Amino acid sequence: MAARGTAQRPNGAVQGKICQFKLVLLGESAVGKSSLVLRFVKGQFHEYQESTIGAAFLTQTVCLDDTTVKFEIWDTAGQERYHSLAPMYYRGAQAAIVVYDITNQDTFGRAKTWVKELQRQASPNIVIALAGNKADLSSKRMVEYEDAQSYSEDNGLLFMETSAKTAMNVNDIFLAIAKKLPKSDNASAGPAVGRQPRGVDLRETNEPHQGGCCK
Amino acid sequence: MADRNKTRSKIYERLNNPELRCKTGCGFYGNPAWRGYCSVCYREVYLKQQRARAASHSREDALAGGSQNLQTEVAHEEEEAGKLKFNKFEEKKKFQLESKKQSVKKLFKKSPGRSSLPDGIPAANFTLSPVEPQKSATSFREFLKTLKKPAAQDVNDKCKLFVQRILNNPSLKVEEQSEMAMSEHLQSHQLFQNQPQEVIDRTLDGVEKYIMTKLYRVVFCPASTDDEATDLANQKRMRSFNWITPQHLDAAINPDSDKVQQLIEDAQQDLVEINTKRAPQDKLACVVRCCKNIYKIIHLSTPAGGAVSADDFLPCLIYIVLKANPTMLHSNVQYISRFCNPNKLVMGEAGYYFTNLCCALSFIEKLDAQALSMSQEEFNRNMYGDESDGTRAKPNLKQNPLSHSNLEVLGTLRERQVKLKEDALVLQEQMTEFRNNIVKEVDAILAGVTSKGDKYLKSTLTTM
Repeated sequence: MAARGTAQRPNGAVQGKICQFKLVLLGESAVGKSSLVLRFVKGQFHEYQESTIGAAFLTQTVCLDDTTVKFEIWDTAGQERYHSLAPMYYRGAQAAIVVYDITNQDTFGRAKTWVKELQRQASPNIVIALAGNKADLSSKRMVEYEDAQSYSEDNGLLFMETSAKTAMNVNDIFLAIAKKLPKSDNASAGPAVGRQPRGVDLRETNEPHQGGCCK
Repeated sequence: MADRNKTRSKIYERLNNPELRCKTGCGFYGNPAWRGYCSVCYREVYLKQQRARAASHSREDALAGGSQNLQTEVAHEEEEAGKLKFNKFEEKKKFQLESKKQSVKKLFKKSPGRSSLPDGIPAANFTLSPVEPQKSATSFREFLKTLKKPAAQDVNDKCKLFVQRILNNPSLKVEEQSEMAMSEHLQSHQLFQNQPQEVIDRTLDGVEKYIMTKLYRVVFCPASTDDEATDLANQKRMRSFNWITPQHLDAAINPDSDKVQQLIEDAQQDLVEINTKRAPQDKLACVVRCCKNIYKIIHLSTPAGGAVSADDFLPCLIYIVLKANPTMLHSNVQYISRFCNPNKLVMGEAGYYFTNLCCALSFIEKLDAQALSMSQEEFNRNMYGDESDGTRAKPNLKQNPLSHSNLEVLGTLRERQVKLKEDALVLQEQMTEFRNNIVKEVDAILAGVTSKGDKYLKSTLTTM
């Protein structure tokens, strides 16, 4: 909800509209959540620039045909002890990427619990993507591609194996999400459109009955 | 006797003076404090006057107090409007502007930018410098200036009206107040429908800041909620967690570095400052500043450097919150989530950091042994174990070298204090002995010299 784009002129064309979406990153710590985002946003891996000290909150814009999709990416703490706080993060999110490490079966199990929780508690039309990260380490693979693929099909998730290190599928997974997100007016338009003020009538203000402003 | 008679007659004279009697002529004496009436008559007169006054004021009162059914009274008020305005709005300028307002408002709605307004308002006023944290103070001042211009009269009036409405309804629940605040946001939106988003945002910020600063006293930590109790409980709780180290939380903080220490202090300062600001966006700005400092702390603490992920960020924030133990944090968080522009809290960078702060607070509220991955006994020991109880405290000491050394220091301090007390007692004894000796000596000397002294005294007395 409450996504904000450009104000649309009532008579203006819908071309070149901007949709802003909130995307949360879930997954156990050390599966490479932030590496994935950094690769997507800055195109870098294990590099450090002064401007990117913080990777917990990042934004990136993707162009899709005639619309510009602006992602606002919220990273979450993956440690088990902070698990119960996650609902506060994915409240109002339109998309989520659940990340696991293909070399670690446990992280895949955790990913499944995340997916279940999102489907139960997040907003009903949230777009969920499953990302099997560290695909470059296929020699140490513990989670089979087919397992994750069939799980995703059963649960209606987007699925890709990614590698933040080689940049494999990183942009693709974000693009796939952008394509799947609803870009209709009610999801993306600014709050100025299509909402009525509750409770306060504009007419009232023409009569300053209260006075007393100089108190 | 004659004197007494005289005074008595004087008294009678005075008592018989008709001016002293009640004005109504009821025969009783009056009193200047009751305006010359006797107590019974004065009460009657007073009640009559009050009734008359109430009747003449009832209309006015209905106008002032009837904010709840505003719309039904609009028609009635319009009759009185001219008179009322003149009474209540002391600024003549404003009164004159009322008539212009309608036309100005129309133009206001039609014109895409404000440069075309008739009163020659420079468009620059609304396209101010971008709202950066550092510039927010100046831009708010600018906003207030703009608010005084005729074109903004409508917004200005609306703000004042809104503030007045809340202040006139002290019985409203907080939830209702926040509901009203939210609708105020939306309403401003409608007015500025044709303005670019950026201008709307900036105006909204200004409106929000203006309104919330005015209402702060009433709506912050209101008595109708248990915010205050929660604040106190939280503060006590955080104090009892003073033994928690960054390691307990998985926070990557290197406390040895001076630079990190300085940044930790800065971050704590930012958190404490939240309580000193009034407008929700200013409070949010403090949260953002704190979080930026936390990024730096983690970055300096990890040897490899690199970007900071949420895995590191949240634990560090929790640690800073615990260490800072800011006053009324819960109230502040509640206040922001009730009255800040909801768009800012669910989206955006400030929203992200605010969510993190909420998470930290909720984590601390529920903090238990499991959350710190330690056994319940160990947790209890840290929470409730005190140094005097040797059996319970000993295993703890092994793990916490700092508290161990502290206890040692305390032990030596205690020994030294006992010694000091003993020495003081000895000194006291010596002092009394010394005093006694002196007294004895003086007595002895006095006894020896009495005869001489008497003679001396006598001689001095005679000379005098």
